[in-house]
Amino acid sequence: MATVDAHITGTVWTVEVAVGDTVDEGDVVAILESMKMEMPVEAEASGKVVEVLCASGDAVTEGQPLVRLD
Amino acid sequence: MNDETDTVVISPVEELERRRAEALAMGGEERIARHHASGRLTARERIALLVDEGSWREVGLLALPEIRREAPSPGDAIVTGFGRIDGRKVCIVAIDATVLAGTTAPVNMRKQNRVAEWAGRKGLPLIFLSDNDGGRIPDLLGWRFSGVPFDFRSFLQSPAGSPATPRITAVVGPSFGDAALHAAIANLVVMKRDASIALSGPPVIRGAIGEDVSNEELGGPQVAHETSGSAHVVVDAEEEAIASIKRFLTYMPDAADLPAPVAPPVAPKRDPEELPGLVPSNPRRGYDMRKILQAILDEDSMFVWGERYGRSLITALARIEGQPVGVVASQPMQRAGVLDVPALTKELRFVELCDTFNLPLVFFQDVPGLMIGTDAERGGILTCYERLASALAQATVPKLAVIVRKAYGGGHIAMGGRPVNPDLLVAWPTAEMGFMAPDVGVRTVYRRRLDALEAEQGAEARDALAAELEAEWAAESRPWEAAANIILDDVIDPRETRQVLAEGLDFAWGTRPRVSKRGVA
Repeated sequence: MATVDAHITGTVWTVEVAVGDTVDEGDVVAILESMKMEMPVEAEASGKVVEVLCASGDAVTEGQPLVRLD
Repeated sequence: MNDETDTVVISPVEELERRRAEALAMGGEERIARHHASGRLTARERIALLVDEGSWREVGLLALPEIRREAPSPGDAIVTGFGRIDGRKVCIVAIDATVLAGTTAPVNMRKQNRVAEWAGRKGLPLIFLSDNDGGRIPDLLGWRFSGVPFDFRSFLQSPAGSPATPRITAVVGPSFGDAALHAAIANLVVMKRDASIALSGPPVIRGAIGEDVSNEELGGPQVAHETSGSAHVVVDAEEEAIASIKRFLTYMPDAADLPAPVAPPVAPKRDPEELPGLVPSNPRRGYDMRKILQAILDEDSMFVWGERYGRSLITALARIEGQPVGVVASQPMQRAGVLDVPALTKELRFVELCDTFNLPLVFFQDVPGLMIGTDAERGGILTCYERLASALAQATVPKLAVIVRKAYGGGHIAMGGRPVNPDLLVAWPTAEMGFMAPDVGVRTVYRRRLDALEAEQGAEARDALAAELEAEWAAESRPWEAAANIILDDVIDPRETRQVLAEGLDFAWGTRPRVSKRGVA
């Protein structure tokens, strides 16, 4: 089971997917805020979202899983 | 040695064969088995992977330590010689960790220095395969240390009068002491993930300063690759390290007085038609610069150098229409692409590498500026920036810069802005240029006016004025006035970038030999 991980330490700005959604490679699953910039986090593989591991406003560190894909 | 008293008389050639066999047996079966069990290849296995079959010519095979041991000590723990990689001549120094733990001592050093000097004098790349435990005692005891047969005029660089040659180190085992120091000056340091590289190993550190650290904490990839930037590439297996060395060499001339090798052109991986859509119109939105590069550079031609050090900047060897280049690109996905001390330090080292080995510098700017604040000042950002600006201005390889989006302040200059004398400076229509970003600029310059307005008419009025002033700044930041004043040579359609750069490279070299002045003594 694949996860989509934060590529940078920051705060979750928005979560763009919900459980049950299907995402393709390159789709934005969440947007992080760091250094006053919005940083889209893209899925590196296609799949179905089975779990959302973060919420808007959460502080996340680089490498932390944000979404779990089937 | 009591060979003379042997009762069995053997011929001189048989004697040679016996000695050769002893040397090729390295530290003996038991030590080799232990070495293999630790997940490492022997020096000779590494060389066999590296050089073209049948091309190895060893020098110093019959060497022995000055201070002889009971234990087998062939070659004095080092294997040196010449070989070919894809037909190209190279010099190799491989530490044999099965012999006396690969420690350095005078004869061993003499072998290393001889091959290194040969590489420099004759114009050949020099490759170190590093796996060593530091200096040997008592061989280096007392006065002997100052008398070591290293000559740093020819060992640490090409001797005076000889152009620089590429130096590559693979750190394939723990590398402490002089092996680590010599790696530190290599143009490419590739390290295996479980290897480490440090001035002194943990036992010395524990004894001397009471610090208790593991090899990994001391000089593993997290330190060497991500924090100090002394290792440029990290791999999981020795075979990958060897492949990395070979790939790096495909971008390198044999010496600084020769042009870098050109390859057949390959179309980009990503369709250039995608380029206008890859840059978000919202200036606060980050994106992955690697996607932009994929639509401009030859497919699979990127060799990323120092990936996880100074990550707001991508430095990579690459090709455009087959022509080798050094790419320096902002990475807006990391720290918004700001140039901090690690990024500037990495860029300086990379610029020196490219300018020495005749690789044109191609910049892709989306840079909000230089990092400011106490951390940056403590890290010495002033010196970092000035040294880089000076190196860029003096670089004599072609310099081409593309402003993709932001080009602010010293960040712009540190990436091929007009003051460092680029051959070509072009911008995409999305470019924003200026002394500082409009929001920061307005808040700084009009602070009193905005504060006074807020006191008189409230926050809403202040915000309205700030927005109006920011819009004025932003209008001035558009690329059109820069083009009108020929600060920019042109504003280009993003889809034309590859062609503009390929032609720019050709015209920037002109008819002169494709060789820079740096590194050519």
